[in-house]
Amino acid sequence: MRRVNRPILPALVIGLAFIQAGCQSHFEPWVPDEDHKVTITSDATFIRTSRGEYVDGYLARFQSQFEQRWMFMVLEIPHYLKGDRLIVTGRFIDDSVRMSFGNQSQEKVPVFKVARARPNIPSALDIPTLK
Amino acid sequence: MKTFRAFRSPFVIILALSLIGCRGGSIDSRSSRARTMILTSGPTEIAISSSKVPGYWAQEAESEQEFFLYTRIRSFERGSRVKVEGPFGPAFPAVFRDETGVYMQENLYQTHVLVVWKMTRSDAQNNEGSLFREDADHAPRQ
Repeated sequence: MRRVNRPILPALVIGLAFIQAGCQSHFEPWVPDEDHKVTITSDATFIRTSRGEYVDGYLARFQSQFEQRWMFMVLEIPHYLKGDRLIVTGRFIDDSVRMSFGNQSQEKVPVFKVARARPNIPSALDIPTLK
Repeated sequence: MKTFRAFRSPFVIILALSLIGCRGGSIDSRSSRARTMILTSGPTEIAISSSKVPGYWAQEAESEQEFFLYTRIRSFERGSRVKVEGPFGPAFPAVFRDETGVYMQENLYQTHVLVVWKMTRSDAQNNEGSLFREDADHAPRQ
């Protein structure tokens, strides 16, 4: 009996650990950070997300695959201003906020957790002089 | 058994020394000696564990080490030379740097946060050294 148990026991423990880790629903899958060039289109807002978290952030517009999209970018220190253009690094989390756009009905906007943000200052074009 | 007794005393000493060594962190961080700092920002804030922490960015005059001075006092301005007292330790706060406009989330930026107990202006033109205590409820006198 002991001889049979010895090889099975470690495998059983490892298997159980994996099953338990898989059942922990709060573990989010690792997603690599992505960069986006955004324009802030709202003032700093303190808002409740669909998952019930209260966050500070801004509604922002960005382009992806030639389409205009929206995100709610979450920052712990919201010191930017409406109209600022930024390059943000971070990731979309499995959460959204409800926001209204003008007269239209409310829409679900995905939440983007910002890891790093810096001003998007376009460098001057290097135009060669005419000879 | 006798052999064990002979080894017991050195073992205890080695264990004690190891424990002292394992305490980590500089002993200096627990001291509250006065340090001369130059404020590199006006009143600002950082976030530690989603809590806003008010204060100033500063650079120690001797070592040029950067610190965040945690204080509610908001009467100093950028470039002021101050003497501060208080304990400090390393932290990974979320920061927004006014001078560059860069924001960084927690765990991306390490700095030393000094909890201000006492803050004295030490500018050359102000030799009196006006004293600001963090426990004062009212705005500090200048």
